[in-house]
Amino acid sequence: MHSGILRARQTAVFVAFFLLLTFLLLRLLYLQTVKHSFYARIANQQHIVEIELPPKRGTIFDRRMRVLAVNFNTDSVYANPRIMDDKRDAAIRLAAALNLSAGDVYARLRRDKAFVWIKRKVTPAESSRVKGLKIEGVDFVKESKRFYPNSSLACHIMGAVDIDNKGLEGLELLNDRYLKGKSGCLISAQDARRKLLQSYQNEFIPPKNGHSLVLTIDEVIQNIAERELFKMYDKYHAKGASIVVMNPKNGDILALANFPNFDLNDHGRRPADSVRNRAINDFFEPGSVFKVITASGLLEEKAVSLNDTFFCENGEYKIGSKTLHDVHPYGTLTFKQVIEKSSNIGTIKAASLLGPERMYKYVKAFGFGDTTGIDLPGEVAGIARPPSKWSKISMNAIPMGQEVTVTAMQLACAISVIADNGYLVRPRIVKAIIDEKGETVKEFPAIVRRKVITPETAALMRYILKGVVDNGTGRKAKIEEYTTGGKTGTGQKVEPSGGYSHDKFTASFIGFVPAEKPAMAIAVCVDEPRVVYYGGDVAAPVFRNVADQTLKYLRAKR
Amino acid sequence: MKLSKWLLSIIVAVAISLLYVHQQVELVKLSYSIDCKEAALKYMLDRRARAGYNVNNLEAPSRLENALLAQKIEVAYPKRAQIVKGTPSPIRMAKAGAKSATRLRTAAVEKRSFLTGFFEFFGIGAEAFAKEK
Repeated sequence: MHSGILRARQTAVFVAFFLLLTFLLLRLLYLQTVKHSFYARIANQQHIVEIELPPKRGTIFDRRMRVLAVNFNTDSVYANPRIMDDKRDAAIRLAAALNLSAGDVYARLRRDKAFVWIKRKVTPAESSRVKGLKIEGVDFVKESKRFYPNSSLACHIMGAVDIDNKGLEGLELLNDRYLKGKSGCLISAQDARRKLLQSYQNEFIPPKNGHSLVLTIDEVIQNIAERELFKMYDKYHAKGASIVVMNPKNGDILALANFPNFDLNDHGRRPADSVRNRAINDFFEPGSVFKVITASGLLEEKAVSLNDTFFCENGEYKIGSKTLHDVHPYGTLTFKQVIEKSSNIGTIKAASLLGPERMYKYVKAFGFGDTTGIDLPGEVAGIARPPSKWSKISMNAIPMGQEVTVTAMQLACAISVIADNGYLVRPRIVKAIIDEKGETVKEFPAIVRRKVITPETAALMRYILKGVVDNGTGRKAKIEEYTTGGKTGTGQKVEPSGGYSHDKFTASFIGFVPAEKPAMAIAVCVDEPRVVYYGGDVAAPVFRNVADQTLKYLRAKR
Repeated sequence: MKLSKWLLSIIVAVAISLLYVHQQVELVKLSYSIDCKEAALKYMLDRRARAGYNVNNLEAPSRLENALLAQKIEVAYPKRAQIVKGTPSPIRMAKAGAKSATRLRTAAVEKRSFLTGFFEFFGIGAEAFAKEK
């Protein structure tokens, strides 16, 4: 009996354990087969990580392969609020180290997240200050940041990028698709501390770094242009100023500068009036520089010859109810002298031999009323109305540069026509796009848009414009060692209420050097210089200084 | 017999398992090592990029001008008449051709071999050679 009870108990325990084991085995089978995908997904989420590998943004070089814009890594500060104890104290200390508002930082730290940005792309000084604080939960991650070694040099050409290295303006915007590159991808396992285990790498697609730009800009010439332009801009307290230095043969822009300008490394805090690229964004009535177009048209159509004479009414010429004035009273002048001395009366009388249709033809042929096609964003075309929209007095205004609006870039291209034997070239800033290894990906050849005037007419114009500098209003553009040709201009600005201003002018000088075989065409335009406002006094000296130093630099380089 | 076969199988299985574990441990160690080396490479590349940036910054024309101004040093370009061209540049020498280059080299202070001298004696530039004494 006793042994029977014992055997029964043994059987009961055996059955109980057997059932338990069976249950466990069935449970194991269930988890390993039926629920396999569910738990495998959770495990992969924890252990497998997909990381985007950001590409390196392309570099921007000048024509001598000097770096103008480059990327490298900087620290960005983040925090894990979930593991932070005293958030208020951390916020105060971080705000002090990073020049931020303590309230903003505290608001971020109060979020229930494992990752919040405190400040991205900090300076090395800020980074070392934060490291010195040794705050639990605060760490760094490397991010690529754009730097410009020359600060404000060619700022309007380069443009700017945003915090994520996306182009916003200028060449950075226009060529963003070449510069940005393509992200890569890394799928790999990670350990419990989120350290990558690259031996368990599933997939690796390397990033394609961005291509680089090679510009036509010369860093040294750009610096010369900016320095000389700033001296004048500061001296005459001008509202704005622009200069374009161009190779007339192939359209290479050697320098393009505007004032006011800004620091490319701190563009977030730049003043509003420094943003725009005045050389292509601003249009104005050019004044007497436009007589170059009128004279070219007259000579090309053989409507005048150099020695034809015009009576300049001793400085006052009544046309209907209006009176046209010259700056100085002149009697009879030859056509050459009319341009040299910039007589408005002589010009109008000569232009009447051309007529509206032919005048408009040359205005358009020289590129006015159209964009130049330069590879920079935001270019405006200016205004050049067809004769059907002209008033009765337009033929007395347009030949001397009124009722037509132009940009500094258009003026540079126009004077390049004279310098390059009558051909209008398209200006270019980007010479080539190269890859990481320096191989050319894309080239931008020089483009000749059209023939505007014959080489003979261009030679005559160069002779006349040389006379402007030797004997006329452009004497302050004369260079000691080289012959120069050019034209001065002092355009009246239009008042908001209508009518021309008597105290607001745009002073300009457009020219080329050397006069016989031009290597360089330069346009200088100054918006509202104070006290002194004539083109010959304000803009011509800038031309002289830039041309002189640039030629000496190019000679030394050779 | 049966027992020893069974025991052998267990020992082999354990050995293989241990080998597998060792392999995995080495893989993980390798991963950490790769990680460290990659971080070091990134750091060096960054430093190189920064050094390049600093050099560009130091060579910036505006910075050089300001530095000269601060030292009250006035630098001016020479006038055309002040420039005198001396020895041709190496690039020009290469372009002039190997023969010309050879002649120019022998015109400098170098000992000429007998054979060189013999052949060049009959060459075009023989009169132009400087004799070393």
